[in-house]
Amino acid sequence: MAVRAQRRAQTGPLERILADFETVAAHLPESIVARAARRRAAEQLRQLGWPSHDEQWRYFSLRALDRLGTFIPAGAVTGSASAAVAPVASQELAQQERAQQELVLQELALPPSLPGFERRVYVDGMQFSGDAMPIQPRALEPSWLPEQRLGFLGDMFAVDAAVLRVSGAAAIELVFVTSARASGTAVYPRLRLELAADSRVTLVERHLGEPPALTLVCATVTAELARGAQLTHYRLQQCGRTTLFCDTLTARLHDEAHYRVRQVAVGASAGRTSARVRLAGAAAVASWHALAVGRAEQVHDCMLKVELAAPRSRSDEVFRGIADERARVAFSGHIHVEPSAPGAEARQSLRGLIEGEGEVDLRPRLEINTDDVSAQHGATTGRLDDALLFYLLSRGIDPPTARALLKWAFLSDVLRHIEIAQLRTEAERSAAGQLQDVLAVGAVG
Amino acid sequence: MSKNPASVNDLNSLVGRAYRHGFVTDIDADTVPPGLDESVIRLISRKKSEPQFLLDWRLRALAHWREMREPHWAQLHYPPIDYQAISYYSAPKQRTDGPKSLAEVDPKLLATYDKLGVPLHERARLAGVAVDAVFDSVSVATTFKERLAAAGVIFCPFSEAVQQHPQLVERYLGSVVPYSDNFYATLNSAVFTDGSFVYVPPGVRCPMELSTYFRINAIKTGQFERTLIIADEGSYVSYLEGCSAPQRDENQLHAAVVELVALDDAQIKYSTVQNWYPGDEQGRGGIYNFVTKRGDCRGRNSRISWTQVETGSAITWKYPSCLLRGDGAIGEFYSVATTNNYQQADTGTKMIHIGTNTRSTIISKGISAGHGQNAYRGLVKIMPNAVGARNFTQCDSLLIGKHCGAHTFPYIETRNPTATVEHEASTSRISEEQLFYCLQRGVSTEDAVNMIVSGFCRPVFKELPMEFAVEAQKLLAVSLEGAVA
Repeated sequence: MAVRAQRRAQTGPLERILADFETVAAHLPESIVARAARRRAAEQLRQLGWPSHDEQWRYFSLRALDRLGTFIPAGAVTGSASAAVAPVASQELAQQERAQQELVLQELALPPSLPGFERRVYVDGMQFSGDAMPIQPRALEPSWLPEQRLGFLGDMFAVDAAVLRVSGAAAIELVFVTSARASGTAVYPRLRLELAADSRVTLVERHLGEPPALTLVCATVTAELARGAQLTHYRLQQCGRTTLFCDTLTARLHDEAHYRVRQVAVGASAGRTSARVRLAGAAAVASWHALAVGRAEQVHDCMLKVELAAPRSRSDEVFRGIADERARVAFSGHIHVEPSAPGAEARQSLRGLIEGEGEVDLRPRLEINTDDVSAQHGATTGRLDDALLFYLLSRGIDPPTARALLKWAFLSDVLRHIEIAQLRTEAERSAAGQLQDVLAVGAVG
Repeated sequence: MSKNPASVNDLNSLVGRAYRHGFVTDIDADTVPPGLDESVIRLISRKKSEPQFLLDWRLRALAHWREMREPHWAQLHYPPIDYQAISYYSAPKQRTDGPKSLAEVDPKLLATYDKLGVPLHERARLAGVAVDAVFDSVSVATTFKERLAAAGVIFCPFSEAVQQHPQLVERYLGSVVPYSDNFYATLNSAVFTDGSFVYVPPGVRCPMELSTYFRINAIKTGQFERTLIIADEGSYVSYLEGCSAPQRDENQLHAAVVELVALDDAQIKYSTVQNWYPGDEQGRGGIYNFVTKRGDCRGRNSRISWTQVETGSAITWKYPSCLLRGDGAIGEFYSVATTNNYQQADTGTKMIHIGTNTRSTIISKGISAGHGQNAYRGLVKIMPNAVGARNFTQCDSLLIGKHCGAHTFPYIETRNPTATVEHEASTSRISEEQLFYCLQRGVSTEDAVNMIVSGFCRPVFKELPMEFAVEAQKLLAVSLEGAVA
């Protein structure tokens, strides 16, 4: 440990990342990301550099990564990466091994499965339960924007990948757990979605786990929605406070595809989402509803870029954030309308609520390159509305309850769009857990 | 719009007139060779007979500038600027040490300002406005100085203030925009040659509008003026600046700095009608306008209001800002920025709320036409002690034509739970329905477009002094002519 601490003091994160990569590169599975692709990712990251002075990263706690012991993935550290992947890929797991896995799953105390959903569990970035997924040695090389550069980490270090190729209808729940085994290291959950034409998928993506020491969870998600495909993607980040959570997503939508994201971020000591959604097909629609609730010294930073590149494409963004105590909550919504997108429509509604000594930072950006467009955004920050508070108090509701109810109403702009009742309840409980006054008055059922 | 043949024909006929102020005055000038080093700084300082503190300040700025890198974060694209190819001092040759009155000013210069519609004769059209005329690197005339002096108001060229009021200059110069502030402000700090200086004593309401007109004339020069306005306790001043430049195929650099200081209960109203040469229809030529403007609401209940109408320049990079330090201070920013042909503008404001109960209002209207690119970039920052701070921002863009762009980059940073910040923005075009409504009532297409644009800009124009609001409206109509097709 002393050697590691000394190394951290002497070198910046980028140098450490590249050095760690060289240490482990030869042992990482070729079937997940080709070796050449991993090298290209490392080179691209090296060329982009570490974003210490990049304004796209100014609200995130990059310095927290200085405290991380190693960027080498948990499985590779223990020398079990290849050993862990190989049996999972096999269809003939021994009955005894299955029983052992069931036992481990019980110890993880996962939330109950959602009715009607097929569940797959990934522990420390590697598949642990559920049907094995066919992994093809196809190059998974998304092109990350500079503001998504931590996505290159996933390309460099991933030891497994969840690959979903769906035609027709499906309801899938993916649970990514960070275990105590990964404590002090990094895990790289990786998800690729390929939706065939006119398919309909409901996907629940959860991130859980509370390792005892500081651990990096660096997730990457790529999604390709063919003509008319519909994806409703629920994302719950409920990691423990010892986790640094960096999540990088890119999605591409073809004609008339529809991508709905409902994202709830409540966990981790610092969380960053860097998402890019490209509406490449005519009449494609993206709808992104996100909430973040931070307390103590948590940081929640979400950067979303939506590119409207085809005629009649539409996007709708809603963000609600609460920064309590000394937390920082930030959202950057970037709408980019290209000349090839006549008839495009874009809406953004960003609102932040500050309690205590918290900080809310909002950046509703518009880049419009055609005149046949309708684009609007609204952003507000502040405290609870005095008039609304008075309204409740004047009807005999005590101040703590009145405040809790108003906060709850504030978050409901996002929570009510979670259509799965069991999941909504769980999301509500997670959000309420961040707000002591809401929890105290029992505003959530 | 494009589906209506009548409209297309009519709109096509609105061919843009040539830039009206693109003439060159043939006048003998004292111009230093291109290049920037310590000897140029010393030469400028010597020509101005400056005190040692100012020379030292300039030299510190030059040393700092050499360590800086040109910023490229703005939504602007232009070829590299060769800072060594610019002449940093050019002044009309004068028969005497300097004109003591208007009678001693070169008649060619007076004729130039007459032609620009800024007569320097005190009985002329703008009789209610005192004017400081800056020609290339120097101020050539200042009107109504005596009348203002009777009220205790100091209004003079910056170089004169350095001689006559060195204590005031030393106390306030760089106190709002330090020499190390940013690349262009640092360059200006090293090489600035003149500008305007205003001091309004306590309790005085300046008896007339003050105005400075900046004119670039000489070829291969830049203009680097510096304006410093101090409104002492309980005073009020309204100041307006205008500008123009000859029509040339080469780009010329304008890097100015404006510093405003408002003490307790003081108010400064600063208006700009910017009409630098914007370049031709193909984007050749035009002024690169990199300006740093900042106001410091230092006193309790002080107020600074920026109003700008930006129609000129090939490149505009400016963010008039307010530091709201005094409790109850108010900052305002009203802006109309138009870009036509290949013009690019990246402009906006910063409102930094530091004192309690501070308030700010931002109204920004961007109009893009042709291949013009127009970006609003703004920061509203509420510091932890800014209890009860409020901000309202409205930021609208109008697009005329499918090749132009309108961009909005607001930053909202709030660190106080009692603050309220509201931001709203929209982007749209002049709709067929709006035009059709006007046309069927017998309004010509040109008038209809002007009317719609004028209505769009009304919240800003109403903040300008009346004479200049009319001028700004006409300027806007001219700058957009030919754009709608």
